[in-house]
Amino acid sequence: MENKEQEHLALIADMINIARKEYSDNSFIYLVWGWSVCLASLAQYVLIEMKKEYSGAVWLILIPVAIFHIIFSVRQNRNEKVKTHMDKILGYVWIAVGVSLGVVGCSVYVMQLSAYPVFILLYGIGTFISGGIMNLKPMKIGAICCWVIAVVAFHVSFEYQSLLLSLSLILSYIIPGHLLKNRFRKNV
Amino acid sequence: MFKDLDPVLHSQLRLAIVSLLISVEEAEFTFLKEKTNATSGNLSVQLDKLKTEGYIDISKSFRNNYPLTVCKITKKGINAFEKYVDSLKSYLNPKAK
Repeated sequence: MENKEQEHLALIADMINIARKEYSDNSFIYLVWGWSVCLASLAQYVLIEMKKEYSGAVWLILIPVAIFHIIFSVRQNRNEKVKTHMDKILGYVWIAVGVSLGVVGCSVYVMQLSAYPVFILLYGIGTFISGGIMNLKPMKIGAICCWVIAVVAFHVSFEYQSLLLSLSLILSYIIPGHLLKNRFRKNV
Repeated sequence: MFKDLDPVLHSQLRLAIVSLLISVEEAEFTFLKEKTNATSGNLSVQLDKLKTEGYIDISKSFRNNYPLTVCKITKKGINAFEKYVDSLKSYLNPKAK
């Protein structure tokens, strides 16, 4: 009799372990946003150095990126065989970060300071929570780097803030994104 | 004192289904079939039994012209699972209870 009870407890543990290892491969989205924001901020830095006007126009590239993200996410969700609690929490975290980035971005003309250090801070929040949930140490380290970079960014001029923004993206999105992609490939 | 074991969950496949569903938001029939290694027929029967008991919700629709069955654990199912695990523990370690 006791053997059966033990077997059942083992079965429960096995099934929970199987389900725990299930998570969506979000690395592609991290890489898309990481590379596009990183290249846009580098381009802005170059344009500022070249004394070009309207350097801020580089950010328009994020409109097609956002549209692509929405289409990609809808298709990915439709094809997922399972929706985990982790996917749901991550979704809410990034909606919160995305809305906050949008609010700061839209208020940039009335703010007395540059928005870039605030963007870096928000990237730090999103990637720190994501890294914690997915247990991805490089992402947590990237997030801590973001916060350190944000402190520096508050004290330097605007063109260097563009450079620091791209550095924060490399550390918190691009490097962890590639590592996450490799981890997912190994699991499949 | 030994607690009564819920007969609905005391079947290996039904327990496996509920253990999987308790760990996720919702799961498709194909996911449950893949993870439990059950046959489609047996899995359907056990899912129906769990639905009749009110332990899970099943929604049926279509995706790309193929039937799509999505299962989700209910509050009643969560309570029953927690009670079942407690009962199992009391059997294995009666002094603790």
